[in-house]
Amino acid sequence: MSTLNISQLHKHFDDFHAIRGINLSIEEGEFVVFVGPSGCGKSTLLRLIAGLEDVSGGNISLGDRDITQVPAAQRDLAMVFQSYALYPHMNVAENMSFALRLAGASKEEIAQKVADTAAILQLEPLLDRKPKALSGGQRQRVAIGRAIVRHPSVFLFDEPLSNLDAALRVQMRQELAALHHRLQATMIYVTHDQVEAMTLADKVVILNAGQVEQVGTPMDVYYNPESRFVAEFIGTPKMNFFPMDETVTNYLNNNEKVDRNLENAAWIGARPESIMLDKKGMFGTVNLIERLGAETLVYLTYGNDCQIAIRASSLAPVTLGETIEFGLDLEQVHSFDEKGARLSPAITGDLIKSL
Amino acid sequence: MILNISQRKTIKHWATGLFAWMVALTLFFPILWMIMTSFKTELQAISQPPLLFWEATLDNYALIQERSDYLKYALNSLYTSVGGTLLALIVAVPSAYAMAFFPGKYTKDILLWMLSTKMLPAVGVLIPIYMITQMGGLLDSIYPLILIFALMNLPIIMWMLYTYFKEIPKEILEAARMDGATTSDELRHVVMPLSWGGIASAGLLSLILCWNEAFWSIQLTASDAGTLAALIASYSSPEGLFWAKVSAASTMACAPIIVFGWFCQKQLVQGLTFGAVK
Repeated sequence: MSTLNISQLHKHFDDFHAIRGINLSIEEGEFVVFVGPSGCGKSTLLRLIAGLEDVSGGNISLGDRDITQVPAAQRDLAMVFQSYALYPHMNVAENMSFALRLAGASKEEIAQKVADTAAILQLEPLLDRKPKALSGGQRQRVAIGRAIVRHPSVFLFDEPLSNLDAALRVQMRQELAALHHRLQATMIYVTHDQVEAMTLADKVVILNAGQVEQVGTPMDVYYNPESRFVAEFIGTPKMNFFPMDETVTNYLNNNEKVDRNLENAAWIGARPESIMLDKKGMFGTVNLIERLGAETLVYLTYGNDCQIAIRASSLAPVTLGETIEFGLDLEQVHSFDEKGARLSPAITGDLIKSL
Repeated sequence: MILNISQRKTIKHWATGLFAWMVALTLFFPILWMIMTSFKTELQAISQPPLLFWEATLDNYALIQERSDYLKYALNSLYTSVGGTLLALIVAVPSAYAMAFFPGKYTKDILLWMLSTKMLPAVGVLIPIYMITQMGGLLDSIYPLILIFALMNLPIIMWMLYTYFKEIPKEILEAARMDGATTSDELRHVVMPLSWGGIASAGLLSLILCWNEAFWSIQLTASDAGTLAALIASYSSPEGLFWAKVSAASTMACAPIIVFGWFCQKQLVQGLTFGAVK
């Protein structure tokens, strides 16, 4: 009933073309994450949906209602800001009930809704406090409460966790996931943090320079990046790229035949976990070892200046400066053309599809 | 002699204190002298060397009240000050809101231009304004004064409010918009409560400037709409200058605003130093 549809959306800021013809459809109840490097237009896209920026071209519709020109106040969307943006002169209860009071709700209704929301977010003991007397995490909860209390069609989150410290960020991330499960509401979430994107999203939208690079489930964009940009952006350490030189070509030809569409390939991409120290055929010099406990990251120089990261087992017997032999898990390797588009067919598997 | 840090701090503390007191007394001295003179006879007032001790008299005050109705002039001052200030605020609040939150290409230029009008001498437009007032049959009326006072203080009020509004984070207004607030909701429930201190101090400053305004009050009014400034001026002529009476009239004109300023000084200082929102 309330699918959000975006078609051919454009946004210009004077000379800067920030959003370049985005088409996107967001289903009811979906948790969609916009992710991308800074300046890619993800926040602008969210603000266009919110109605806080004027659209330069294209359409936004919610259900069968065209909201492209509807003022923010009448869109029935709620937004949580990075800076929380609580009203400093109102206490927590007043902050949460502001929208209801503007809409002319009755006192009983307001009290009921504020109490319900406060219970969900464990804000009951704080209802009389002003925002300045709250900690960062509490403020963020109030900002979320302010959004929930209205039962909007869509929740918009603009990097809501980036002002919190690392531990609190993890906790709030889990609370948000639980909240989405509980409310079953449509949520659109902007972040530059790919861990948040991977863990929260039903659908990840990867943006680059004002355009959509790829849309898919977290596992889909991880296993089947459609471009080199996505492959490098999702995953830490990022995907490794080998130039299609003689060594690599020979290596691929000498090993079992997997159809990776190599004729026009310029690059071979392999995730750090798809490079195996127990396979043979390629060589590199170890220049950094990070032993993280559960796993060990081994960084190699391959060829002249190709940097390779390998996810090895916890106690992998490598030492700094030595030359080691490695091989590729050919089932998990992709080929990319000169421009960065993926050539190899998608890695399929029932598991990837179902997750 | 070598001083340790705490001794140096003590000396610095006392030196600053002494300097501040000297400045304050220098500024206050004319007012003190005015008040003292108002309690002298005309002869004592012009005696050389000036008298520091004398038998105080209230004759000057009695005489002024007898010759002209102090209350009428005071009320005229009150009406024009409050009227001019309210009018200026009614125009300035929405304009400053627009300029602070929806700046255009020329917003800064407009603000500077507004301020630049304060740099022109008022006497430059004396003849046209006098003529207009006369043609409108509004000489010796408080209405043109209210309008002129409002326009005169508008640039300063605009600047103060603009600076205050600028300090409100834009996201708070955007949050209000997402909560369904119209522009007037935003102004009433968010912008004004958050900048209440700023609006109050801009208003207070404007009140004081209006109260003390003399040029236009003297030019455009006579006995009906005369303000306290006009009352003082009426004692400098035509019989010559009577120091004691002028002082008494001035003291009566200053007293309300000094008392007012005394009570509002905290608010005023806050307003003039800006930055009280966060």
